Order: sequence, then C-alpha cells, then structure tokens
Amino acid sequence: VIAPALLGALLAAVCEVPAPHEPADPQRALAYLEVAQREEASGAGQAAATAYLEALRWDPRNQKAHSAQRRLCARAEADALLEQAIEKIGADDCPAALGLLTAARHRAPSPEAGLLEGVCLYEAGDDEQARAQLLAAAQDPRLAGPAQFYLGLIALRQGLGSDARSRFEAAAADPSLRPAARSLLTLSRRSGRWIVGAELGLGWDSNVDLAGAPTPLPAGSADAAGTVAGSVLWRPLGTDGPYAQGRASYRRQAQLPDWDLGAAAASAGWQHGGGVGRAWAEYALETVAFGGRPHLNSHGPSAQLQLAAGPGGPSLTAAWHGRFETFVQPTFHDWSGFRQSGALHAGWLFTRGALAEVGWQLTRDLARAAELSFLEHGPALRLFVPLTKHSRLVGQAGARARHHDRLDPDFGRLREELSLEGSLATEWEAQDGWTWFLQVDGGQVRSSIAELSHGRFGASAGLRLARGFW
Amino acid sequence: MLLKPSALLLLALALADGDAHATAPAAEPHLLAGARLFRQGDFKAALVEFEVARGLGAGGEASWYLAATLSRAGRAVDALEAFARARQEAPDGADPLLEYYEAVACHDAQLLLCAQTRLAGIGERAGPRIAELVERISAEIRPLLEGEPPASAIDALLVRGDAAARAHRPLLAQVYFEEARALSARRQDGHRAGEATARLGAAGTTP
Repeated sequence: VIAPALLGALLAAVCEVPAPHEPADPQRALAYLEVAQREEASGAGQAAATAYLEALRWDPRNQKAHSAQRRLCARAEADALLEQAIEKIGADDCPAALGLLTAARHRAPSPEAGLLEGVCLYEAGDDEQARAQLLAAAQDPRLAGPAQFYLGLIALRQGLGSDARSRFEAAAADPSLRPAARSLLTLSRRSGRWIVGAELGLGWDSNVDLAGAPTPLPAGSADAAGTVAGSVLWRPLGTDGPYAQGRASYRRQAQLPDWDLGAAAASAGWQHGGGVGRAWAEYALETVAFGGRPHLNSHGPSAQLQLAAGPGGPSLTAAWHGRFETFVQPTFHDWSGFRQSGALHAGWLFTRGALAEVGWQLTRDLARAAELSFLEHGPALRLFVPLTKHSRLVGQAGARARHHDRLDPDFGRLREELSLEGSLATEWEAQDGWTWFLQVDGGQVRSSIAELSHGRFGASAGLRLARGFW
Repeated sequence: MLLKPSALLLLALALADGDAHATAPAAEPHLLAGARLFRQGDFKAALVEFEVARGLGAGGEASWYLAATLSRAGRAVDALEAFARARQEAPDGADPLLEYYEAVACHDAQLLLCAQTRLAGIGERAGPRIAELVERISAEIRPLLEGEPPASAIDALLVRGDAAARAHRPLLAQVYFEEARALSARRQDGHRAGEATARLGAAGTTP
C-alpha cells in the first residue's frame, strides 16, 4: 500500500499541467513523446508520465501529450482510490471499498480494481455484477488465478457444478491458491444441475416397535436393519430457479419384517435468492409402505424463507409445510387428515465454519378422529462442527410437548406427552463424493398414559454418495 | 539497493570526459541531464533522459547508462535486456561499475550464475569501493550456488525464456536460456541441456 502522502505527491505530479520550457521545442517534445509511448507500452507508468509531462513542457500544444497527461492523471486518481479500497478491504470493510472501487473504475478501469470489485460484490451477494467484473479481470494473466477462484465460488454458490469445477481447476494453476482450489474442487464435484445421491447403511435399534414400558429404559423389540436410499435432484438453472427431485428409501429389518419401511417421494418447486435472503416453495407427493403393505399416501406444499444479516452473519429461517395424509389400511383410517408444521430457527456461524441453530417448532395434526388430533411444540437445537478438513460432527436435539384434543377412548384419559430426542453423528468425507457416517441416536417419550411411554436408542453406520453433474 | 548514490559520481565523470563529446550534439544535454538525475537518485527521470539521448543518436554508451538506470530503478528484467543490447551495440562500453550494475540486475532477476559471471568479470579492475560491493554480493550468492541446481529451476528458466521469445524479446530470451544452459551443465544428468542450447541458438537467430 502506497502511503497517502506519496499518493498525493504522485497525483500532484501527474495531474498538474507543468510550466512550459521557453522557447518551445516541438522536435524535442516528439523525442520525449516517443519514449513516453514506449514506456507506457511496457507498463512503466511512472516513467511514461515523466516523459509525457516533459513532452508537454517542450510543446504545450502537443495534443497527444495533453491527452496522455489527462489519461495518466485519471489513472493516478484511480490508483489512489484503489489503494484506499485496499485499506478498507484489509479492515474487513468491503461495503466501503465497493464505493471506492466503483469510483476508480469510472475514472480509469483496471484489472486490479475489477478483481477487487468482483470480490466485494461476491461478498455482498451480488453474483451477476461480481461475475462480470471477475470475468474481465480473468483476462489478465496476472490476475487469472484469483479471478477464476472467485468465479468458482460464485458458480458453486449457484449450484453450477461443472462451471465451478473448471474454474477451480484453472485457479489451482496458481500455487498460492492450489490448496484452497483443490479443496473446493472436491466440494464442487457434489454440486451441479443434476445431483445424484445414494446411501447404504446398517443399524441397530433397541425398540423398533416403540413398545411402551413403565420405566424410562427401552424394553421393546431390538433389531438390526439395513437401509438403502437414493435420490436425484434436477435444478436446470442452478440454485436460483425451478427444481424437481425424487427420492426413495427402504429399510429392511433383520428379524421384524412387519416393521420394514419403504418410502418414495417426489417434489417440484422453486428456489430464489442468495446471499442475505433466500426462499423455497415446493409441492411434494409421498407414499410409504410399512411391513410390506401400502401404509400412507400424502401430498402437500412447503415453503421456507431464510434471511441473513450479511454474508456469514446470523440468520433467521422460517419454514412451514402442510400434508394431506391418507392412511391406506382401514385400521389406521382415523389417523388420516391434514397435518401442518412450522418452525422458526436462528442460526449463527462461528469461526472455522461451525454452525449452531436454535429454534422452536410447532405441529398441528388434524386427524379424522379428534382423539388422535394433537398440537405439538418445543425447542430444537442443531450443531455442525467441522473437526478436520474432511470430517465433521453433526448433532441435533429437541423436546416436544404434545397435547391431544380429546380423551383417548381406549384409555379413558387425555393423552399428553413429552418427548426428548437427539442424535450425534460424525461424518468423514472420502474421495469422489463419498462420505462415511457413524451415528448414535435416542429418544424418550413420557406419556400421561403410562402404557404409551417408551424409549429407544440406536446406532447406525454407512456410506453416502453425492455426485453433481453439469 | 547495493550502491549509494555518491558512488555514482563515476557516471557523471564518465559523461564529462572525452567519450561524451563523441555523441550526437542533440543527445549530449540529455546524457548530462540523465547523469545528473541519476546522481540525485531520480532514476525514472534519468531513464527518460537516457532514452531520449539514445533516440537522438547517443549510441552505445547511452545504452549502457540506460541499462544501469533500469537496474537502479528496480526493473531488473528490463535491465537485463538493456545490458544485452548495450553489449551488442557497444561491446567495449562496459566498465567495472556498469558490469556491477549488470550483476545486480542478474541477482535481482534470480539469475545467480549470470550474476556470478559478471562479478567474476570485474576482477581486479575494480577500485576498492566497487571491489567491496562485489565481494558483498558474491558472498551472498556463493552458498546459493553450492550443490546441484534443482531441475525445477531449469524448467522455470526455459518457461521464462519461451515467454520472452513470444513477447518478441529475443535478447532477454537469450539471457534466460543461457542461464538455463549453465545450470544444466552443473547437473550430472544435464537436465534439458539440449533444449536450452537449441533455444539459445534459435533466440540468437531471431531478429
């Protein structure tokens, strides 16, 4: 960074019209002009300025020298603004730097100012303007590495996986950016207009049938299970625009086939925004098979709105979803109805990428039978803590109080329940989009009807795949 | 940098003797102005004056001063090219001080064998002050040149040479290829020695 006093001196030297030599000597001025043009072409701006000014002093009417002096003055002013912007960026004040960089561009565009403007626009969430500046900066071989790096970040944020991959590959040619670019290249392989996911897992559950027990300890039927799941997401315009997704899963119990569970779902929606505000809306269809027989069909809308106080700042997320549920088996017909739930979460991003979210969730289930209808609400906590470059800890916990609308006719009592549940998982990212996971989870339900109190705990491990295309 | 401005009086003295009068009359005031500005430490202005003098027919000696000024202005790569041009235009124009500046340019451009060769060429011709500066920079370079040079250094020089050739700077390309060839000769496997020699020859025939 050039000291402000020195910048002032440079501006004064270039922008003030020099006192002419007497008498004028146009021939000598031409000799200086030739040198000035050569020096400017070689990138030696200060030597060029010296020569242009000297040409002007020997021939004040030389238009080429006048024009060059005005151009160099604008360049010097732009450089002064650029230096001030660099100071602001160094002080983590990109918004203030943006104004200076825009002013610098208006005086005299430069790849350096364009790069920094692109970076600050990216930080501000203005991806399209940032992309325009960064694409221009990327034409300069000296700046191509960082420009490609930030273009990759924009593409990644927009879910344009193949673009992100090619940008990070280009950025990796710059040795100073190579480690970060390679790390993000791995991440970008999971992003794209198409994302395919798969999961294979093995688990064990202490109380598969959620059998009631008079003590807090689980006393139901323990069993092991294998799970297979797959999903595909299509978002033709990246993370801003329409999307459609489908997923299916199947859990097969080792000893309790009546508790085998299969599910398939499809949804279509629209997502919009980025940076400080983001919204989703979708409509979903789902069918569930239980014990090898059709069990539940449901459909309904969902919407979510997320607002953040600046990039990386605290965020607030509001979500709602409704489901029209139809239980297929006659035994469960009375459970059919409309179920909706909402949640409000506040999130904080900490150093090293740690994330914490706390919130409150509310569910209203209007079943066909009033004694099965309930209102449920309670707090929820979610933690995401990076452990190493390729591993993380994911935890969640929640408590819910449930109040049923009417007395349970079978027990002759009003059913009120308090449930606690939580899970803790560690995930290790392997290569090519594979992730190993190991999870423990458990829960306890205390009911006003003692026979319905139950608890369970379980553990599972497996492998997930997420791979992005295009 | 490695030389105080007071030592540069030598330049002005050189310009004040008979050699200066051999230049074109129109160039002479610019040579003198360049020397004065050089002495004052205003290398950018001195550079302009020496360039103007060269354009007005000052000949090879202006090329040497121009190269020395580029070296002092911190434009090592431009200085290397300018010294190579000066050697072409006025092979006898060098003196220990100018050769010292050439060595400094080599050193600043990370061409250590080039620097060592130039410093060795100064030899006993230097006065005590220059000899002291030569010894200082030689002592700095010596340990860096011990052992076999890494192949990556040769690769990088060939890349730089190719880039200079593409930029139509054959004299600069020759400097890089020469350094690459000299480094190759110091390796047992002669890493890419043939390529360096071939490119040196090609650059030498490029107009």
